[in-house]
Amino acid sequence: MHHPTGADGDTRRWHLDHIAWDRLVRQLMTDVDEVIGPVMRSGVVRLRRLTDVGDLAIGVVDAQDAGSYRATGSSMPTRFDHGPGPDSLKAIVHPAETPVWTIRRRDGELRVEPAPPDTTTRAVIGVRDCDLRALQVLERTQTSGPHPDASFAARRDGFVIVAVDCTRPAATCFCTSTGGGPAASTGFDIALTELADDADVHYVARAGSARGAELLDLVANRADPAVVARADIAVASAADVMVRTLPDHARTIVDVPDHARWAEVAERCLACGNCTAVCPTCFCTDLVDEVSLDGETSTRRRTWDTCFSEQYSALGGEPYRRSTASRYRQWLTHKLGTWWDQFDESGCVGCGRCITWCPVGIDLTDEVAALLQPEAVAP
Amino acid sequence: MTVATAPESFDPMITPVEHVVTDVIPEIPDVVTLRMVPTTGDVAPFLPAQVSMVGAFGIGEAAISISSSPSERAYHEYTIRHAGAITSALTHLRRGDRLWTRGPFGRPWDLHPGGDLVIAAGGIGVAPLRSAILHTVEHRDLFGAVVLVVGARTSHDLLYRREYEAWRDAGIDVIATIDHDEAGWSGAVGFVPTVIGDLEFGADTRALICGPDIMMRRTADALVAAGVDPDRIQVTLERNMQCGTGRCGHCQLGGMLVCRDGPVADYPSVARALSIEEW
Repeated sequence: MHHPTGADGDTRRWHLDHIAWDRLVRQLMTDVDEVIGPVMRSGVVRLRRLTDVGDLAIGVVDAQDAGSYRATGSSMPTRFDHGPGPDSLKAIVHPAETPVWTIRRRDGELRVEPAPPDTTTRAVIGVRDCDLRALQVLERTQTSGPHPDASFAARRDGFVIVAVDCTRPAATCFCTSTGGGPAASTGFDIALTELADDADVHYVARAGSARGAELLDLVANRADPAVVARADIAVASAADVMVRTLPDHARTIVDVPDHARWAEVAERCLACGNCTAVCPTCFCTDLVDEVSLDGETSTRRRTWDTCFSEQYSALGGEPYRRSTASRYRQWLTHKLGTWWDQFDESGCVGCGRCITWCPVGIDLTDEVAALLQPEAVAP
Repeated sequence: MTVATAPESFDPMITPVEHVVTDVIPEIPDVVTLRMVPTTGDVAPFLPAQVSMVGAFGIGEAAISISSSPSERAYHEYTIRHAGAITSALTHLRRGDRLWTRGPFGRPWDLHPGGDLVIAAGGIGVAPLRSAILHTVEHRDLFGAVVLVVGARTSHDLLYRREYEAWRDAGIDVIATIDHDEAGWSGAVGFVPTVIGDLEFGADTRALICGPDIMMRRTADALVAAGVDPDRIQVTLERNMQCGTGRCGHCQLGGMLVCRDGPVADYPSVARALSIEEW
């Protein structure tokens, strides 16, 4: 059996009961400006800033399927016994709206004031492996070129990440067929496995960084081998329950731009862009200039955009991708195919959010399977 | 201004550089050329086909190629057609108005000396080629035969027509063609690919094409049919550039981010992408 380890093969394990858990969260609240974790909002597990350790969602399980999400209570006081909610690290590190600059006009002359960098330090609790990998994918899109986004890098550098192994993936999850999960694999400071027995919830933890190890030494004791073995079994068995898969050759959908399935899926697709909003790697943004009422100050914001909007491709006001079929094709071929040309990897980490949050339940894994089927040739 | 190299240095793709309009040159209907200089610092060096994000206060930015000569260090010129809100604001600027640029950026035309050159332009597509044309005018001895084929709907849509004489005097064979015959027109009639098809090219011919996607494809096909090596055919792509830094996603064409990998591309690398409707 594969045993998850921390950074550089660090095999140390710590054990946290609920007292040690509270201590860890409070320590993070002392160490960083904002602690963010899964909380309940309007019946959905969201990533939100915590003001107290008690804000975390407790005893929540969820049922997810194509176009469907239900969070319900459970008898166990677990904190992470649910699948991914709609939020990923994207909204934190690459926010839906970011100030870019202010330009002031005085007697016709323009003076540019770039927006100050976001130097807030943040701890994020409950990050799954899909989102750890998505952070690296997103980071590559925003910081690997010759003009890196300094704000992204600053926010990323300010992160302390407390990851969680998935022991109960959602029915929409397919991370194992995209090369990840269910154990937290990379880029965390601390990774936890949640164990629940007899109304007692506790955690086995490993460190992914020196900072993580220091934090764990401060709040917890070492775990005994029996509990470590139980944690490892819980994580390993999660891999077996995932039913959806993405085939290894999914990227070859770029070779079938004329497949009838594109028009067929466009009959169902609303072009709403929900999938791009919840996708942890969809990075597209728009630049919006707004002028003050006195006409002398122009403020530029960068906002999320979606390739499903007609204006996304517009040149001189004329959309280039007029049909929904072409926009769905752009999204899926980019995500799974041309992302490789641009960034040398796939843009999909198998989190399944696009499936859950599609209002009409379009399932990317179904669409890929259909697109990879040869079309019937007319006689 | 020198090209920034140190990581901590000023990045002209991120921080805009204020410019002032020093001249507005009316071209064909709806098209003007703005001549501009930075309000501080030197005019940025650039290579033919490179682009800047040109910004109008309170409206936004459009990606426009620099149309002046790369050897001209006193100013930049941008030829702009009134198409959307931003280009409308830009074409209405007057001398003394302030605007900004982020750039220049992008992959330029390959203008290595030697061999024959054929330059094909459709409509406003001659604007991103003008800096290359002016470069060949100034360095005519570096090339063999140089042919410029410019196509437009009508004779009134022929951009830079007043400069043809100077270009011809420098030894460029300028062929202007319009879609349909007009009274008083003595030049060629027909689309650019058709005119190209009637020409002969040497084995060492390099081609530069700019125009609508369909025009570039047909022209490239005509050149290949006339014996030009496909690997020596370059096109320049126009997609919705916004950030200019490869981060916003808008200008994707298949596996390309046009602002990062283009705008100039070797034709074989984009032939398939250009042939797929709405790709």
